[in-house]
Amino acid sequence: MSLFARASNADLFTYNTDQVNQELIQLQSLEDYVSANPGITLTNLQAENNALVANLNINGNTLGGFGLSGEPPLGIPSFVWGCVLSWVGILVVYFMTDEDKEETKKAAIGCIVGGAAYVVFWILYALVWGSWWYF
Amino acid sequence: MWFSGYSMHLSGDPGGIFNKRDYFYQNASINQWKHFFTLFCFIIQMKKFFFVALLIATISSAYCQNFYRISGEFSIKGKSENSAQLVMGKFYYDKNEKKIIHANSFPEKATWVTSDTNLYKVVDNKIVSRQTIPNFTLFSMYHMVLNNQLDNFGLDGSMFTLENVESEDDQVITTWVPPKSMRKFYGKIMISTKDNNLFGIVFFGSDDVIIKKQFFEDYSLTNGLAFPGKITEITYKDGKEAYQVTTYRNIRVNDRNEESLYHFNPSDYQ
Repeated sequence: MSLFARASNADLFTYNTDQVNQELIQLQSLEDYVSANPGITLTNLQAENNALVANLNINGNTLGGFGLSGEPPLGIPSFVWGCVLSWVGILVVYFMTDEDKEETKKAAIGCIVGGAAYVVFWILYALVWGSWWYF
Repeated sequence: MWFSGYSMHLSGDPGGIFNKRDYFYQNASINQWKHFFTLFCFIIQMKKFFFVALLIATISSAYCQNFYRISGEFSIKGKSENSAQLVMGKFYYDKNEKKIIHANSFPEKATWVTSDTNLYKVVDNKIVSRQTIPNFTLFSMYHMVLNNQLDNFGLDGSMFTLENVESEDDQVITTWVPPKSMRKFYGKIMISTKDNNLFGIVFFGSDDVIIKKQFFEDYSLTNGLAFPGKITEITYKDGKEAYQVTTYRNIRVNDRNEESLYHFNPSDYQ
């Protein structure tokens, strides 16, 4: 049992390199082209109808290149966004994930948990402070 | 010690001046050899001591070298079902400043600065936007690399606790679990290290299904600091996979030639 478990765990840390390379082959060609032409921007390439970007739905507004559509903003879990930034976090997640309902829901849960923690903290604080004042 | 021995022998001579001199030379030569030998042994011992001290100092300085600054070139290639992205540029990070600076050259010329809970976008030396974000600087890869925390992805000291450690072939695999109260939202995280370097991370959802894998490969050693040259990220969602590959090159550690690039003061860009 343990032998089987160990083998399967090692198998988790594998991926199909060829498949990843194949998926990104167009982007690799674009990267090579941009490297060979320093200073060129996406706007330049689109203006000249460059074939390298013709079939790619390149996202120009990439927020510093930290996130793809369908992922939590900046790679930070949506729960944390909601928990830390409350309703602002929910809005950030909603707009930055292209209105992804699942991620927004996680942010909302984070908001509720964060709010509850805030209330509990102040209740405890008031109890402790009140007790101290009483004695 | 040398002079006290010399005086003792002189005072012990009962003869005349020549006898004294002969006696002195005879005894002095023997005693001199003794002293020389003693001194030689002392120097040898001290040399050993200094050598060991020097060795310890060298090893400790090598291990305790203060890595405080890192920079390099990066590119991010990503593709999901609906969109693709390519971002290229340079990054700068000084752990004392705690500001992550990405000077992008593609898709557009813009500098993105993460400072505390702010994310600034700077174009043509002017801040064109500012957004409020959670402060994740201390959990960034740059910060973790400089603080030698990358091997456990900063989980050591986080809300996650180490549940299991196992060794397989050339990998050491650790399993980290969230606190019970968080298990409705988060799943376990498994981390694999090879040669003391982070190799892979597998993120699980609360339903124990893999949601993301990250692989850290092609490490380079710059001034004794290991930094991954390639990070492959695979995201699993709705039975589909999205890929992102980040590559790093020309890594510089503790660089002092481009001092101004590691600093960012918003008032300078109004």
